[in-house]
Amino acid sequence: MPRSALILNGQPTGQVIDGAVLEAAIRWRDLLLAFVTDNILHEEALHIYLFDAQLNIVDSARLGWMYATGVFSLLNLCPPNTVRFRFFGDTDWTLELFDGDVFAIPFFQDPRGVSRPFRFHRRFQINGNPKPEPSVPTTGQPDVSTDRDKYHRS
Amino acid sequence: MSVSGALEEHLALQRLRKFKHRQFFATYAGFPPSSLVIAMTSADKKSEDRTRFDLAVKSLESQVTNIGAHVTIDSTTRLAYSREIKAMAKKLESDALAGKITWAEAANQAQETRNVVMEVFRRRSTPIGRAMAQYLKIKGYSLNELVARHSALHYGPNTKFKNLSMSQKNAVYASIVRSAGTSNLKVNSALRRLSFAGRGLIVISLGVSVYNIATSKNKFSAAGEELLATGASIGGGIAGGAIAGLACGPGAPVCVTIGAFVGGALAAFGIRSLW
Repeated sequence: MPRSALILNGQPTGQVIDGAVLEAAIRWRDLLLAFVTDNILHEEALHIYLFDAQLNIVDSARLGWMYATGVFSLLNLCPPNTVRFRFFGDTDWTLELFDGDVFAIPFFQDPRGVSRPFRFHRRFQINGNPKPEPSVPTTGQPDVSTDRDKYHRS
Repeated sequence: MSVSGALEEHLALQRLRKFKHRQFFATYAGFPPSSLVIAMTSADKKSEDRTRFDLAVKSLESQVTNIGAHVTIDSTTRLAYSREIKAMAKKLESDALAGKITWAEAANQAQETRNVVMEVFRRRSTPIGRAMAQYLKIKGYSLNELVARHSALHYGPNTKFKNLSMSQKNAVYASIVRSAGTSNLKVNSALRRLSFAGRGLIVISLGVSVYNIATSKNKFSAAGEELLATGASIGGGIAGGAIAGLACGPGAPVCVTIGAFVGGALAAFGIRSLW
């Protein structure tokens, strides 16, 4: 799988993360939220990382599923702590950042298609209402994105 | 003995004659008819319960084959899909290199052919595999978006495709073709492991069947029963999954898995009961 080494101000940090293409990076207080994709055309996965100032991973999540692909587009930033984006599932995803660790039950609090490391606390919550594929595809073609024409990427 | 007592004894004896296991009659011959009937009914019920329990256990044994078959079919299908799109990308690349088609055509075909391949492999999957594949509505890039994306990846974020040289444009198209031939390696390796696990379950199930045949009195009959129950379990599982898929709608793998399990268990139980 594609992996990337993180370089800060031209200096290697020694930190290696999953993903190949940095889609967006957002500074929130002293933390950095990064959206990274694998660059696999027909089975794209979106990795979301929250880093501290030294680029240590504070929390992470992955949107991906077998045979499923998505197109990342950042919709908007909703102050004080929410990011809205689109990927797959024909839904607007929201990512809410927390000031500190928040208790969460693994697996049960994540929408379909979202996976996270097994732990009982998190620093952000992803919400969305992803839809399944229709049983009979009308054209045999995937829903081709037009979001990039509609929304501005920050 | 009164007339009613004699009649009661006669009726009890008549009922006893209907039982297959005559040894019970001999064992309880010295007891009054009423207690004989009670003893026979209780013993027969126990035997019937035991038979039902054995049937249920054997039906569950058949589920191992059902699960193994589902896992093996879906993981093999996934690995074949992965091989097929890789072969497709290589073929398009070699055709473009040989000048049979342009790189732009190769990029266009790569996107379209993959969707056809995907549909073929979805159909080859079990209902559970199909439900997994339909779990999320996908969103793909248009060819123009792909061109813009790969141009930026190769030549910088502000690159305009129309300003590139012909060889650079071809490199962008070639990158799209190669990208279309890749699949998620994490999923592939997970399903490769599942494929081994599925085959392992089938081997275990075959071992149990061989044991059942070897320890039975009528080996020919036992072999027939094992063969039919195993086949029914797999067929019932696929049918049950398909029915559950219709009932629950697309992209409901949990519902379809329950349907496949119940369908397989009922079919195996039915065949064993009939046998």
